Amino acid sequence: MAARYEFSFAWAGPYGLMTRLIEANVGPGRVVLDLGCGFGPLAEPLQELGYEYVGCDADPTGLDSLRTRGFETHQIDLTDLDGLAERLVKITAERAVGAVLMLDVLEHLPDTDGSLAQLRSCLLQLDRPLLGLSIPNVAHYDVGAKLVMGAWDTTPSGLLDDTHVRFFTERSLLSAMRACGWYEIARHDVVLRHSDQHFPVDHPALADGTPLRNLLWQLRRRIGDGLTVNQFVRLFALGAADVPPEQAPDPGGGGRFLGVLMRTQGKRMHNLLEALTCLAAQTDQDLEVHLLVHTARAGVVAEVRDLVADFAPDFSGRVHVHQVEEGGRARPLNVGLAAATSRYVAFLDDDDLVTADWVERFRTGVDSAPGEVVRSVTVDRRVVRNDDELLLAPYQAVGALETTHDCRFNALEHFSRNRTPICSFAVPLEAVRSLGIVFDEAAAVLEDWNFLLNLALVCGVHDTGHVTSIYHRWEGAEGSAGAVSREVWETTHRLIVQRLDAGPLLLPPGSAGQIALMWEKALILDHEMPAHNTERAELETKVGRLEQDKQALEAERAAVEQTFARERSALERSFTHERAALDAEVAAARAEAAEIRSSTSWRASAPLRGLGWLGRRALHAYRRAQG
Amino acid sequence: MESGLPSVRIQVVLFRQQLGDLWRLVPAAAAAARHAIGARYAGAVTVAFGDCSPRPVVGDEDLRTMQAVASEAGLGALTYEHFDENLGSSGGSNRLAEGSTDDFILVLNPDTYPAPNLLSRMLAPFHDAHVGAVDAHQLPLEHPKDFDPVTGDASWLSGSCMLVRGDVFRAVSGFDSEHFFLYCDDVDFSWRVRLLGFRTVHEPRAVVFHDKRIDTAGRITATPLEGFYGSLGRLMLTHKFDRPDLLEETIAAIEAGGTADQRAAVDEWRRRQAAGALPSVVAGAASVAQFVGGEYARHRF
Repeated sequence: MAARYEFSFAWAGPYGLMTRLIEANVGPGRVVLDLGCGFGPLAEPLQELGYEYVGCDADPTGLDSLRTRGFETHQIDLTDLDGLAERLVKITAERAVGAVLMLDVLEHLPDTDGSLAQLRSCLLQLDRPLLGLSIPNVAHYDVGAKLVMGAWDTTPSGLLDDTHVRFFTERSLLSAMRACGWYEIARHDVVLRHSDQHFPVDHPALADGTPLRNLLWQLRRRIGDGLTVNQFVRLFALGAADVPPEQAPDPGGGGRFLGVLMRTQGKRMHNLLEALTCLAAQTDQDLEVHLLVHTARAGVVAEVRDLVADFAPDFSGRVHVHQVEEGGRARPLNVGLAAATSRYVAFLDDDDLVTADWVERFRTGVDSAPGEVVRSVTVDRRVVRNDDELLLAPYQAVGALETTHDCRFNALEHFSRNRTPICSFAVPLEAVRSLGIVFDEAAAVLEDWNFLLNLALVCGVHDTGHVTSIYHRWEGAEGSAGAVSREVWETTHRLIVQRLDAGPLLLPPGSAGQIALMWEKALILDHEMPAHNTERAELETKVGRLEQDKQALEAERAAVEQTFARERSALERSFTHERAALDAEVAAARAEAAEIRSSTSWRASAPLRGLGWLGRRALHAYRRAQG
Repeated sequence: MESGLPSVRIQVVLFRQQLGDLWRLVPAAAAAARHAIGARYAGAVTVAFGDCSPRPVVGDEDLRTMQAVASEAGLGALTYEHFDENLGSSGGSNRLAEGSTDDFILVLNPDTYPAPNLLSRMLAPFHDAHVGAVDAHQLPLEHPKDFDPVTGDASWLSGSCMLVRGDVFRAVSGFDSEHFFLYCDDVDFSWRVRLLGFRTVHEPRAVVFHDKRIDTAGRITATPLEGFYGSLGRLMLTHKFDRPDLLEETIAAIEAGGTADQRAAVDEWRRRQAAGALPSVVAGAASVAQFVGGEYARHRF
């Protein structure tokens, strides 16, 4: 045994943490069998806790040390699998074995699966004691970041010990264990932000604070798969080995091309029927549908299942109905993401519609740009729901198609506003899973925008340029636009931008030019602003003066109007007086005339006045005849 | 077939379709038939394909498999006839209906996909003996023509998916295939049905997918034949339904700024006029014909 493996015991190290696990999970008085024990640094602590420690190793150096410290030891070569089980049974004799430890051993064995199988056979004979493992994590951030940059620095011991023949990540360890029937029951991993691989310390992928390190760190952190775990310290129980080993990822996806995640609350069954009909009519039928029924009511789910069953079996057989009882708008989408087995996933809410080439265009886009987010174009249509039972149509369009969404994706513009409705893009499921991206369930709105941006910035976006979906904008309160206040939208938007601001961003090619142009425009505006401000101030002064003039003129006008009214009133009064006097005079004259007409002389001269009238008429007729 | 329940014949006229389109359509038609039979709206449903393509779209082997699938799915029969000549949609439909004694005929485009409820919903309005024909709500692009929101009455019905009483179809002698090869044949048909005193009804709860594409300006992508046959159809309609003023106006507009296809339609119109091959003017046309702008009904948007 090389002196390099003579480690000291520390409660915060793997031996101390394994001792804690034993203490918490194994009853005292039992044998703890330490395979590949080396110098057995945890022998004394376990003994003090009441366990009977037995050390086994192929190298006698460590065993000598243990024996001199008073512990039972046996020389066993774990690479010699034949007869291992019988030997261990013989060593333990009739004693009760509480746990078997393999600390920093498995990664040294050339045939991991064979060793685990042998161990299984052996531990079955020992009445299934727990198995304690301590294994270095090859996916620690330091190792991964350096490997991305082309560095693989082996060392005499540590994460990249130069005698390791097998390397484990969180997933590969659990997968290998499950394949042999070992199920994890407890863990107490060693977490180190900076591992023994954290060198050179100024490497841009390692040094805290560099954009490169921060970018890689935030991508890894999303996955949460042992980012800072230095050593897996785990306890496993032995169960049935009936779980097949995890399959290697199939680059082709394995399942269908497209998984369509469709949210419904089962409240708009007619719209759901229409959306499903659109999918059934796709020219490319290499799709599966995950119909996510967001309701606690079993009756609604049954109704949805009946609706699906009405479709032709070649389609309905590919529609998987999931009930999602809890959560907000995003929960069903996350349930769908977890259930999908397709290469890509796309999203269609139950009240939107797609053209027959929706899937086909996604497929063509993926063929051109595999691994990228594929984006088509959506058009909007305003619709109203008819709640009156007398009306035949459950809903109606009230406007022509509106082209409000851009044909080309612009990442920079998307920081400001979402120009890509959820029904217009498809994302690679591998990216979703490997980046650990899900829909934000805390968001009341804009969950799709956040999801899209997270993927688009890492995967890139390929535009098909074709219109393939129709987004229904419901008039009135229906739909999230009407149901949620503007304040919630704005707050959610700010949160999304703040999250993006928390780390470096990957921008698509061409962004530098766009930003430079925007910056120049901003500078020009800044430059022109003082002149504009001066001009504006002058104009405002002018407006102020004009306002004053206007007020003066209005005051003058009011005065004139007052004078006019006064004079008019005086004139009217004067006129009234004069008219009254004249009326009195006329009345007096009339009375006098009446008196004359009623006199005898007036009546006697009446024939003469009649002759005079006839004469005047004859003279008038003669003159007219003379022309 | 259960006695007392009507029989439905689904007629599809083909012209150079992809075989895959038919393989998508047949199970969907079968599902719609199963729904209608289950809901006791129909007693039996059959499918008849008539092929106007130069070469048969469906081979013997595919036909046998389709027939087996259709039979398994509950369709009464599935037939296929290669016409060996291009009769147009109207002529093809008439040929398929020859000799039919079915209670109802569903005229269906090959680029459609019936929703499961299609037949049930379309058959329901016929409980009114005055209803002569019914059309459906189209996806993904709702047709803009107006209809009575309560009764469903419409000026005309779309021939892409139109269910007609068999005796009404026969009474109007089917489509006027002599004057309407493609386009406007359904408008002419609808107006003649109404002239017989029957109602033409739009049923918005009956759903059919009709494969229409949208360009980036938000317009429906026109088919190559639409310019010529759409214009010729309009000229025929304005003449047949006694609107000489609109006929002249249309010709003048096309001559002033029409496309090559539209001008070719005017030429064809004149050729037929000279040959005395125009339809007779329909008596009482004004009572049914609606010319609103360039359309044959008021449009809602």
